[in-house]
Amino acid sequence: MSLSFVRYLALGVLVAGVAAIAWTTLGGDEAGDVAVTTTTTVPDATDDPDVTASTVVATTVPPEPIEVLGTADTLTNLDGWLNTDATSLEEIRAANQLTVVQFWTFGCRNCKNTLDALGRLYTDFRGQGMEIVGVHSPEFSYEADVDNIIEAAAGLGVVWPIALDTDKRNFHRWQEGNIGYWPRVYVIDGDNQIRFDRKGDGRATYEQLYETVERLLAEV
Amino acid sequence: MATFLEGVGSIGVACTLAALVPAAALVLVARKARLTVALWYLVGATLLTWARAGGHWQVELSGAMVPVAAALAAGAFVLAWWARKPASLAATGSGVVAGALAGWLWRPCVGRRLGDILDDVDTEAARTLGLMLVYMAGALLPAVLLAVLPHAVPATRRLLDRLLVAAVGATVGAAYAATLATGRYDDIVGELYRIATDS
Repeated sequence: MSLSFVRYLALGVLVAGVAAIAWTTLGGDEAGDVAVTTTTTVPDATDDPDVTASTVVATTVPPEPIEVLGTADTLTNLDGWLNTDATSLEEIRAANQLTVVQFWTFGCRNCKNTLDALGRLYTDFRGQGMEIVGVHSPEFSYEADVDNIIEAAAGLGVVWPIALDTDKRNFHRWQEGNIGYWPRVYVIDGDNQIRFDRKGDGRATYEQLYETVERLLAEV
Repeated sequence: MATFLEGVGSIGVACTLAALVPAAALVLVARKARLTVALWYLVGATLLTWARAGGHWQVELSGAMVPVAAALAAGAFVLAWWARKPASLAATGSGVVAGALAGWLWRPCVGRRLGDILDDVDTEAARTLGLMLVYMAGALLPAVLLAVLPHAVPATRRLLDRLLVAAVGATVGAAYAATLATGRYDDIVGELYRIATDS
């Protein structure tokens, strides 16, 4: 392998890498998400040989039962609550059939990406037996300041109850085994069972969350 | 490709800086084996991140493990400095140890595709390990590019080979080890991020 080939290869890697960084910086990675509806393409049943069109038929796959993933923990050693008069998760759970618990922190970009979807969930299902609890578990010290949290929550439109988990005790207890991800969202039913548990900010994840809440409320 | 681009997109996020800053500093220190160190760092970080997600690595960074982590960080930078050839045990060891340490410490802000990887780690081990490598290649891309730079543009080699450049990397490495020992590393990265985003 000649030296010039290595240089050209390195140059190619360099250019491609810089292009990838530029592409994502300019918002090029905002590609569409997966579709929720399953579609099947079948040939059009026509006698006309000139007509070759096909028809896209939407088929609804029967939904699978929503599994029980385990028993939910509680929230302890909190530094307080915002946007609610409640003082415990149990109090909120007792007043609702479903509780959506999300671990988040206001400085986390991926957490912010989920807030519109949570806002829609809150608008559509609050008052129908669902409540959202945002457990604010700060990653960095500036995210632990309660004034900063209040200001950020107002700016981000977070109007649902916020549990202040400043020391991340609940964050680490709920996410066992030396892990911890922001954001992570759970749905807890009236029997304190976890019915949904996903990490990340994917649109499909939050569409599934919406669908899960809708179905579980319908089952009650 | 989308997984790689999501990794690239996470470069500016404070969560990722916690893994990326030591990688870049290590590359600056490893004057004779930059690419080896960068690639093994990537491998180490991928393996530990994946192992943690799958519950295969459950050692908590607390108590006696804090000075151990700080010593590993300092040791990795010393090894990187000592490495005299790209294909040397010192270069490989430095990259793997520092990368594994980063994977151990890293608490990622999770995007869509990383979320899917983490959700599937238990059921699809091999596939998620591969995807995690792709994601980490994106997240650590600046460190890899820094290592590739002198090969691609030989004129930059003279600049990167200066003792001053290595000293900058070593200073970051020393600060890294010191802040790990005092439990302040995440806060410093967060503060840098806050300052950057406020301005």
